[in-house]
Amino acid sequence: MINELDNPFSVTKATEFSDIEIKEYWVNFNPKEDVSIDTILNPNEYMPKYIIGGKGCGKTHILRYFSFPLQKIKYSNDISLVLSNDKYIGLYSILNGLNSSRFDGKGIDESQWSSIFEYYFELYICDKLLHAIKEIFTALQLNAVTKIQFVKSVLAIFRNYKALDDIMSLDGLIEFLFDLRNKIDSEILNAAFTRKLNYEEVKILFSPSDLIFGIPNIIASIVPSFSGVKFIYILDEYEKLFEWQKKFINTLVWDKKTPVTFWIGARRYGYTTRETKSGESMKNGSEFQEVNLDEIIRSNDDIYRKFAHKLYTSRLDKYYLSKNIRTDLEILSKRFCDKFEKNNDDKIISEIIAKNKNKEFKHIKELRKKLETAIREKQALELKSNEQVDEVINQIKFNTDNNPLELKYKTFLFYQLWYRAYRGSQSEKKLSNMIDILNFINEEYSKLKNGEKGSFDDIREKRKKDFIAQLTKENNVKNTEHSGVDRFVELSQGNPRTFILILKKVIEYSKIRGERPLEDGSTISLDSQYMAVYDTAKWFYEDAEVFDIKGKHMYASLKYLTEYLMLERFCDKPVDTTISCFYIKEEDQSEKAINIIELMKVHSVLIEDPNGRLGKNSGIKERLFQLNKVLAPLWNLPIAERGTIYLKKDIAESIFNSEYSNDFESFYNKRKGQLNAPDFIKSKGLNEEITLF
Amino acid sequence: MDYTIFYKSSFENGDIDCGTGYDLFFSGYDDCERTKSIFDKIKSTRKIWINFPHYGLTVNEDNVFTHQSYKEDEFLISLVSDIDIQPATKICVDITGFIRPHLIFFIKLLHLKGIKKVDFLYSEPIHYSNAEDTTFSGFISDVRLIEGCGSLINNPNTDNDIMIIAAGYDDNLIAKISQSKSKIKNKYYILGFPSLQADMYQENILKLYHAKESIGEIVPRYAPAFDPFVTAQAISDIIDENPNYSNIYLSPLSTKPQTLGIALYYLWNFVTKPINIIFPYSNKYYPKTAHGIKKTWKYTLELP
Repeated sequence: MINELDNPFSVTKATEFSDIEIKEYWVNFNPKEDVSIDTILNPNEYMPKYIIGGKGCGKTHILRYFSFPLQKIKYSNDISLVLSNDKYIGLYSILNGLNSSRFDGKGIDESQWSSIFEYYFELYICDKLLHAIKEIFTALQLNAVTKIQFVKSVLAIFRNYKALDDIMSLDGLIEFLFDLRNKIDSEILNAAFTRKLNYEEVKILFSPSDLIFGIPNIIASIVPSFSGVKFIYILDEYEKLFEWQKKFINTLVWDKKTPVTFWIGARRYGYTTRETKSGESMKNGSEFQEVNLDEIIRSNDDIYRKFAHKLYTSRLDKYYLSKNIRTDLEILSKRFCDKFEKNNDDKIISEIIAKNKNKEFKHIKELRKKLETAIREKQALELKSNEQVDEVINQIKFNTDNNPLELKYKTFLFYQLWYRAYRGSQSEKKLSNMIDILNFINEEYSKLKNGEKGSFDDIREKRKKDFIAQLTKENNVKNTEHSGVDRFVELSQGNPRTFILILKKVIEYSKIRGERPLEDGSTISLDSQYMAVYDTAKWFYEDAEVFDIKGKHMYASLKYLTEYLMLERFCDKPVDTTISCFYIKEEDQSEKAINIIELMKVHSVLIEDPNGRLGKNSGIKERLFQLNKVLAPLWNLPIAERGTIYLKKDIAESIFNSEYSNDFESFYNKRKGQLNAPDFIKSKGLNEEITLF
Repeated sequence: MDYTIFYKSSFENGDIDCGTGYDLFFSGYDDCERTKSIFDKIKSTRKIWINFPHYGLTVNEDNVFTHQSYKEDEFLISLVSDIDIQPATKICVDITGFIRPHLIFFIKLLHLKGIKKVDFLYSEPIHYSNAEDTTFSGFISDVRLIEGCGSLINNPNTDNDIMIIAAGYDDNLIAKISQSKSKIKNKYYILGFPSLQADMYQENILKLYHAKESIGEIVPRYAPAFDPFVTAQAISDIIDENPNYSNIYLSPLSTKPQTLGIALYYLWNFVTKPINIIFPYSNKYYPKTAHGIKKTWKYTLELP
């Protein structure tokens, strides 16, 4: 049981919960104040549902919550109440249990596999149905005549029913189905060696879908308690099937017959077809309802925040109750949130200062080196000697108390003005030489120090986060900007498992550091929080279920994309601030590039803004993406949805289309030149088209 | 059944005791000294190099079997189609250069041909190319049951499914297998202890914990990396502890001797228990990952 464990967040997957825990840890989710997830799924209607979501979105928890074992728990095993109140039976099955990959190859053609799979599927699914019926019959204390009537009616579905006279009980019926399945299992196994199926052994004994729809129909007609009761086949892990197997499931959904309906659970990457066997596509909204959990959760930040709040308080409450500590939930939540040490930029700065005692900061050393190079290249305006470089550095350091962040602000403005002076775009201010530039910088800096308005206000306000990121990277210091429960909610970007996993790791790391995170008055250090966030990011990165060459291409694209985004943040003269988003013009891109972007999207590596971005001149909607926030800490990238970069056609192709990946290095170096001294002098401008030649 | 009573012995420098010799000897060609040396020294009427396409090697040797299919059933059925294998045929297989799912399928194929006893050889290298960072396989293309090694009794009730993973060096393989059966709550990991090389065990543990969030709770068990029989026994013990199992999944992700242990357990139990062997497939394996030959093990498997 989870409450016996030392970490209230130790369980991050519904699979690890028992049925009782599924109920205990259920937290309803309200996409709108008056609409909850159970009203969206609505087991009272026949509309089939495809419940789609990425890993950790809570899909399995939801599906299991509506299953028969949970219904029994809800009504304290009073099955009459399940039937009369819920008016449905939820039959949860894991499609991966079929081991569907067996129905392939072995020298046998696909049409034969298709027939065998469909036949086997019904036998397989109906096993769970018959076991549930058996339990219900026992609970309802049905008489023997009704039971036999039911069994005989089911057997009548079979072509050889006359030969089945000796089957007189539900157990016999279950065993009969078991034997039929067993013969198929055996034939499949042997086919790997014999390269054929023995058709006598796997002869199909009923018409397609007669069993899966027929049994519920029979029971509804002969057992009055089942009047108006629906049978919901809840089929999870649809993504594990072959495409032709998915089409078969779609066909069953399409052809559903009262009193049966379906809920199909699928990961987004596996929800690949709406086609039925006839080739027709099912229509969302009229023939089935798509419930996209990721979209529902991400569409409303406030409601997700409330949901996350309920999630962690519920876990904490159970944890403390198990230790006989009862606390008001709001107090519990506040106490927990207060434990998290708040991010403090001054602390990071102090650490950097301590690390650089008696030596020059790396960014100042770099500035020195760049000026010396520029002198050699005759790009340093009037500077001619190393002594003059020393003077520039002294002027930059002036009045900063050797604070590395303040030095960053000044060097940034220096790079900007140097570039403009060289290119003559600063002529109106007459800042065409280093002396004027440095005087201007120090005048503006004095204003900042004196609390007057000046050039540094904007720099400090918009660029502080980027410069702290630069400093932490340059000095190999942890960037602890992601701290506190609210930030973890934001990082998890609508994914409950990610959120719980961060908390789990926070508790683990905090315990390792002896911080006693769950005890009164303790503090969870920034270091523990940093490690938890980083580890979760690493898990998310490595856990994508993507196979073969596609996976290789996806990871390569992610590498190029993050390198490109890092270039924009970790440079001398960043153009925009906190860039974490990019947009593309879809019509410009190849199918191959778009496919990889889509793949990254279904694996939640990229999150698409459904509103897109309207082209300034064209008015055409451009596709806008953000790197999943949970991944950003891996590269010290920002998470704010502020800065956006346009990936022009060729650059996007070099990132997302493996055919052009050889071009990436060249684009990368050109962009690097545009953003860094002294090479930016040579570039025509930041908006200069980056081309290969 | 006590699996530890099977016979095993070891030899230095590849000097195997072949007794009166074999009728057939098979070895997977991986361009390593340890497999070539054994191939030369073994006494057998017929010796066959198996050139698996996964290594991408061109083999300039006599008696080479080459086939382009990556699938274990197609490849090995083609191999044995031209070879006369009778129940009394004396067979020896050097498993050192074998691809794991192919090895398991091959053993089952020999079993179906009536073979009751086979000698298997495995040579430990002196060292691997890049120590603990050695890469053995490429990108995973598929996770599926090994052909012909599924269950005869597939149970639709999956509540008490068990997965037992012989966990090796590649945490990516472990993560992929765990993801593919993510709904299985009871997962056990058999670690190679003692390991084949110094530090390998510690590294193994680190790798396993690296994949922790993908694989869930870790229940480690141990069997020597070189011992198929203790491995089979460890599997047997786990299953005995879980008598209410619904389906059983075994996954050989560690050493070839432990893979042999999985095959042994499967063959002795698949008729009565719902056992499946599952594997994360890759079409690329790196040859020449090992150097030298330290010790060669000979395992005599008796099949049901």
